[in-house]
Amino acid sequence: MKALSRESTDLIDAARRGEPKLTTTSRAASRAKILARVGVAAGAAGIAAGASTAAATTASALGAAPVAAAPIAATMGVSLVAKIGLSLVVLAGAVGGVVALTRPSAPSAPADRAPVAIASTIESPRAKVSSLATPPSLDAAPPVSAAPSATVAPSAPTAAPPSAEPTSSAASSTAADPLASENELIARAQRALASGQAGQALAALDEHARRFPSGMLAPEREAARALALCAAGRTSEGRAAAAPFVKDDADSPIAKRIRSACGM
Amino acid sequence: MLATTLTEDRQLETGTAQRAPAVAPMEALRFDDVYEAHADFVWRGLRRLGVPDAELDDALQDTFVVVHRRLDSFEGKSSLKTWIFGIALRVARTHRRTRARKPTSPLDDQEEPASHAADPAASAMDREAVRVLHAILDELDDDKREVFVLAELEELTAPEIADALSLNVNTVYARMRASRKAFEQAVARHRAREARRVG
Repeated sequence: MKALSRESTDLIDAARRGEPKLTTTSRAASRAKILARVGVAAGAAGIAAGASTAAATTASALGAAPVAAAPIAATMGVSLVAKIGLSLVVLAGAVGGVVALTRPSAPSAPADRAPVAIASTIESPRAKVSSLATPPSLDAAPPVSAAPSATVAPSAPTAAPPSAEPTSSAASSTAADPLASENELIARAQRALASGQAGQALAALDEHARRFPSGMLAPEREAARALALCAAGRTSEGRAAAAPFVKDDADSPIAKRIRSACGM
Repeated sequence: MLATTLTEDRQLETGTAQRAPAVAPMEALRFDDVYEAHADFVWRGLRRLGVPDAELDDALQDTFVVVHRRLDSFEGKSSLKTWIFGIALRVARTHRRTRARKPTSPLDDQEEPASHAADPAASAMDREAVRVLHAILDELDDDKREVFVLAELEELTAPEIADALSLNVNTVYARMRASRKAFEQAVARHRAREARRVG
């Protein structure tokens, strides 16, 4: 292959020398915000353990999304399809963290009703995000039983006091989070799909495609589109949309689901 | 089959929840290691990929929020660095599209956000080279820019780039050729503009 010209390599070398660097302060600040967003309190190990217990268990209480996404995550590796479900875990996890830290006491309501209760405690930006937790994932998993949330409820209050600050930074970062808007559209499509409204699902997916053509959740969108098209009886279009998934990860859960929906 | 998987997974989830106090600090530590080892290169890479300065910190966080959640599913098929870069690339695409980089002239004296530290050892000429390089990279389309940055600035191999971008290696080689050509043309255009400006 033809090498770069001397002029170009000189420019690149000089630019490397002149590049700004991430400051230590910003690196630490970002780290704290990341941990707050994923529901782990920064700081002492004890605090982190308490908060992540609450976050993990609340996430499981939040409903199908995290639970159903996990097997996909485990089996799909780093391919294109690997992204499916995982991003939902990210956001559901973030909401879980916030919720675990803001709820004064964990109610022993049935798990499938938990997201509703949670949504009402959250201000508008996060309320949008919390709706992610409600819809069934691509695997249409039933809601988690009440058992996990009941077991862990006591840890939530313990985690609350030391985590007050990460909670507020999670709130502010979520408000400006384009991932949240993306995820709301995908979640809406998945809810519609789960309730047999393929047309509505496709409308939400079209909106996602228009607003986030190359968004983080584009793979989720394309898989959901294949399912929705086949559910709507537009089988040949559905099969065409499904082709990349079925070809790349023939044995993945999503490929199997698409094959079954599209009779492939 | 699906039902079985879900049931098993639910049990797993419950088990994890109960063990969490013992396990969580270890997981947190592991993420910390990954973050400390890769934050600098991800931040720099995001910048090279065209994420506007004002959004760099957000993009860094987005990348590692996804890394945090996917860390358990990292299978070691690719290097951790390549795997993380694959995530950063998608984040960069999102940020490039949500807000287009403000048009800047290579000579603009941009105010640097707090997260930047211009290397005191870097000369004014080197810092100028950064601005020129970014102006030139901005002229490449997204596909070419990504491959160029990964190959020429991050110095990843073609198979590594193929991994990060989920592309066939031959496609990567073709894009590498095309991106070098486009880069050289943009350098030449820049040189011509400079000549007109000075002369």
